[in-house]
Amino acid sequence: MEFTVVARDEEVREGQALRRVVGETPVALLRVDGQVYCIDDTCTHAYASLSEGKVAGRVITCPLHGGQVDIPTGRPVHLPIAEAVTVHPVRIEAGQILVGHEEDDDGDYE
Amino acid sequence: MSERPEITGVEEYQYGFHDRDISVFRTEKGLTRKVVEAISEMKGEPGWMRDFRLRSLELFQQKPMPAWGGDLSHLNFDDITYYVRPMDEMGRSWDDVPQEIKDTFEKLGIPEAERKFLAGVSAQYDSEVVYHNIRQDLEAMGIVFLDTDSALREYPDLFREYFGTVVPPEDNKFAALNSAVWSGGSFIYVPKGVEAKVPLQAYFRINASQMGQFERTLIIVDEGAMVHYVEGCTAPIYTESSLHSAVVEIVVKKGGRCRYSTIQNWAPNVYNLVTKRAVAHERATMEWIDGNIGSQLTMKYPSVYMVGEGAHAHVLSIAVAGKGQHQDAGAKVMHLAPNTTSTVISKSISRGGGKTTYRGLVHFGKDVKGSKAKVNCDTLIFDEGSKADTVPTNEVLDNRVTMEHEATVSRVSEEQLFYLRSRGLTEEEATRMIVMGFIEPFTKELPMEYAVEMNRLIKLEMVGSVG
Repeated sequence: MEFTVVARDEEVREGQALRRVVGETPVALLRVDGQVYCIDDTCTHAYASLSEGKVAGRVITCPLHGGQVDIPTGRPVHLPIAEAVTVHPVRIEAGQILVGHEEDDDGDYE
Repeated sequence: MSERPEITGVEEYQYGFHDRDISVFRTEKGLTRKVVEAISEMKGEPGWMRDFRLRSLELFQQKPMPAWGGDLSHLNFDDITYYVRPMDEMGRSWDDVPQEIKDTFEKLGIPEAERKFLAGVSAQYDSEVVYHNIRQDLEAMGIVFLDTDSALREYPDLFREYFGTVVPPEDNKFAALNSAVWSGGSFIYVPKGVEAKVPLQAYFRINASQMGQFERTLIIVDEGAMVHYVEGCTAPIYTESSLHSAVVEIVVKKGGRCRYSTIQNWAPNVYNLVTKRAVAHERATMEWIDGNIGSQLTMKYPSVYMVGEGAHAHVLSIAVAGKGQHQDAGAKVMHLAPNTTSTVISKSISRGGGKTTYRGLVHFGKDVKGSKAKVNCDTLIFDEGSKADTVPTNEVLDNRVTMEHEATVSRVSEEQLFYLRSRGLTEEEATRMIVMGFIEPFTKELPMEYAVEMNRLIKLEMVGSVG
């Protein structure tokens, strides 16, 4: 696993999503109860950008069809999202947010 | 007093009569915050529902019109009346229903059907359910069958637990519209292990001109339970368009079974833009039997989210498009758990310049080993100028699944007609026979009485189509 710097710690605020691209994967950075999380930005339902949606507590609502995801676990909590969103590991080092990703993430579904 | 207006260019629509307007209340034309508040106030709803409606109105105003599907350019939201209350109190006996409305339903054969073979009936006239009844033995089994407004009053907790969870208002522009101005529809709850052996029926009738009907249906089938729900729809023919935009939400729990049959026969001046979605849990079965014969434009894609292992979805869809009609219909099956199975059978008939579109989605999620889907789209094109499109989308994120897709497009061939005529049939009879054979998989899934009605409707549609 490789970690890449994506943002400064203070850039990620509660109730707001920050979109970044790690490798070729768009991700959304979010802060819930002080902790920073990183989830795939692309909604598993219809490929909308989750970071454009509303954040309330630990839930983010997709702007396109209103599906909801639990940010810390990536699990769907409201249809039409029915499949989990990938949650990426996060490290904070010297005020920088680092996101972990596979070096080869071609998406092998076996 | 009923009359049958003469409208040129509209063929053979049998239910196009309309009654004198006897409504007791209607909102002003167009959709504003004031209209939404008036509907909510009139119904005496709790605050959370009023807030839900107002939030949905904002979403409706923000969302763009769909740029795909049928032609919506003539649909003017400012010309529509969003709420028309036909009478003061709902009846539990047909005697309570005003004579004119009762006459309409008599003409449509509803009271007779109720007496003969239905377990419960709901009849909606414009915005409100005017008659509602359920057989006592089913009520004693704990089955709840109510109009949606009464369910909100009588079962507030159960209602709130499920309402809007399957189709959120953000889902699409018309789901948002329905969520803002919904009125009427059916609410069904079937308790654990209870099987409703006879169908429950709802009948939707639009009477007012340039009116929008926005019923909201919510069905919850608990574990191991079963229900069959049938709905029918008709409207008068006016020169101006009406809008029907329903939302149907269904939850089928573990081992449950729900069959939802629709025979949509709206007048050819109705925009029918409906969102229908079901969630099927472990080993549950959801069946959509969806017949689209009427309307000017239908955009409707019943979907099943199979979220539990071994869930099954079955969608059988028939679309008949005649002159000036576009049936943009299909199905969405979402395989989201292992060993889920689905079949989609679509039969489309276009004639007289009509257009049918099959628009479907098959989705296999990332961890759905052993799942199978089969899609079969058959199209029959009658004449020059009629059109049929097939727009299937398949998304497969797991390579341990089986996906089959078959499609045929055919014309009623001279050879088939010649063969049948050589057996002594007239050209019209021969055509009918070919069509009846084509849609047989559909009609055989309907209760017998509906199958007869369906065959009759299709025959009517076919009159004068050859020769």
